[in-house]
Amino acid sequence: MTQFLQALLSGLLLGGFYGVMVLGFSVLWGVMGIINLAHGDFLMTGAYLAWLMFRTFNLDPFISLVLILPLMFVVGYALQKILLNRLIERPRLATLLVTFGLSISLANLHKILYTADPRNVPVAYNGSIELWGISVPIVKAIVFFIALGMMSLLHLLLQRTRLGKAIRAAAQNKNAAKIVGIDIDRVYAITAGICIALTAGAGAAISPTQAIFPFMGQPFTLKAFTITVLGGLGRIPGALLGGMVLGITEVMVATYVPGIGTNFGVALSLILLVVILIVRPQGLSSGLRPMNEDRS
Amino acid sequence: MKNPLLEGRQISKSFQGLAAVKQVNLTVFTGEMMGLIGPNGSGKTTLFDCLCCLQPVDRGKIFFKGRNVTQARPNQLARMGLARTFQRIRIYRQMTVLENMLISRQWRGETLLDIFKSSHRQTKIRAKELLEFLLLSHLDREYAGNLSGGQQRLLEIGMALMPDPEIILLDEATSGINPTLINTIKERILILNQQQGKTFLIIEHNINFISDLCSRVCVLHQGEKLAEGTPDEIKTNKAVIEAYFGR
Repeated sequence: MTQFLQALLSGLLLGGFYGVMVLGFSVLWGVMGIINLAHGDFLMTGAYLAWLMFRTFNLDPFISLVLILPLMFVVGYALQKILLNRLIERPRLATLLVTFGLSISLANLHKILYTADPRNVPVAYNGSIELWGISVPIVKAIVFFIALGMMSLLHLLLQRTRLGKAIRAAAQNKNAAKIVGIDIDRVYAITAGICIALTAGAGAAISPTQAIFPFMGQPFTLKAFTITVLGGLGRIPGALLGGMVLGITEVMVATYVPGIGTNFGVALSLILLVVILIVRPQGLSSGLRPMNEDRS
Repeated sequence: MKNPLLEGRQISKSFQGLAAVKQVNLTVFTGEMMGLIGPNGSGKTTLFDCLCCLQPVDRGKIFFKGRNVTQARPNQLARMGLARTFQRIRIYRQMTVLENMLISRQWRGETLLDIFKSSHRQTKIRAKELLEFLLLSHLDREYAGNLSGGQQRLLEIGMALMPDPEIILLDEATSGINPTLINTIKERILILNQQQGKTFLIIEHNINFISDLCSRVCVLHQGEKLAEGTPDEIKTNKAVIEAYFGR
């Protein structure tokens, strides 16, 4: 029983991280129709930034979020204005090719800058505490609560603010949004900024828990696909649900299937993706349709 | 004589070699209600798209309030006071009726900080007043996708009215709507024109609707302007009758 509860807790903590990790991917796809194959590489960039700040200024990775989030917002904003904006009206294949190229460029740029050696952020509190016989990893618990905080803030932004309403309007009907005075280019740029910042923030948050290397991003992109299929496009509760399902499944399989270990995660996420697409193609929350109903 | 409010000069637009609009001149004067009619495929909606800059024109110029806006973006025209509805209703079905109204008031001279705030109280009051005017106030918390076709059409008109535009381009506002609701829409348009001085350019297949509202009618046929005149003149125009019913 303890083993099961331990696995469940680990799965929940991992799922919470997956929930925030996927948001940038899911919202960018839902609002602009861009499938960002460089998603994991922005996560990797965030992890490297946290490592750099830790190494240079001895800055705690969670505190460095205060700098990383605005910095990566600017990067995302500029990326949208310079590159992604030119892709929105193009066939989806063009988007895939360009973001795939961006992924390769980012990974290799980091390899040139920092070599392929794995880096880590050894924070002093990277241990665990015992609660009713269950071991609670401190860093993963912090990541989990930061993830919930980020998701709640994004939810509030989308539901309560004028910007959020404009983002949702642009996602549902681009032309109707234009004609009521919404500056679509600006909305898209801010959305991209938020998505890239969230993704890099997720990368910075997990930097103390895993090795950081230039090619660490792609498994996260693949997992983001699975979670988006599970939870729906641009839906925050769906992202959390999808993240939980994948996180718990991964940990349960690693715990109860002998000889598998945690490295089976990517393969498992793809198996889950195929199973979901066969059994329930609309996703778990019937959300696997674009947020927009009419792109014309 | 009133001033021209919206003017298209020699507007031409083609899609992959197929001319949808050919050198059309159209002027809408301040405070008037003008009809735009024509058989299916005559280029009415394309002309609308060009006039509100959703489609760039191949040739010709567009003037709004005396300014050349040919190269303007749709959101810039919207901020200058031009609103429109669409043939296929374009509302935000996954938002509430009130949210749909509030959206239509966004981004008007706001700073980056403003957009992170919730809607102004005054905007909410205006939205509620307009919903009451359009007989939709009891549905303000309902998801827009759950409304009937006619109610959705009224909501779309309400959204167009939210920024307090000077001219509203209505694209087949009565399509698929029951006669009672058509009369409601007609009444509301008349009030908006006569009491608030709003200018309308209306695409419509319902000739009675056009005759009851509009003082001038422009007829398009195969992308070209076929005739222009009062509704009575248009009804007896041989070329128009021929275009609609054949020889």
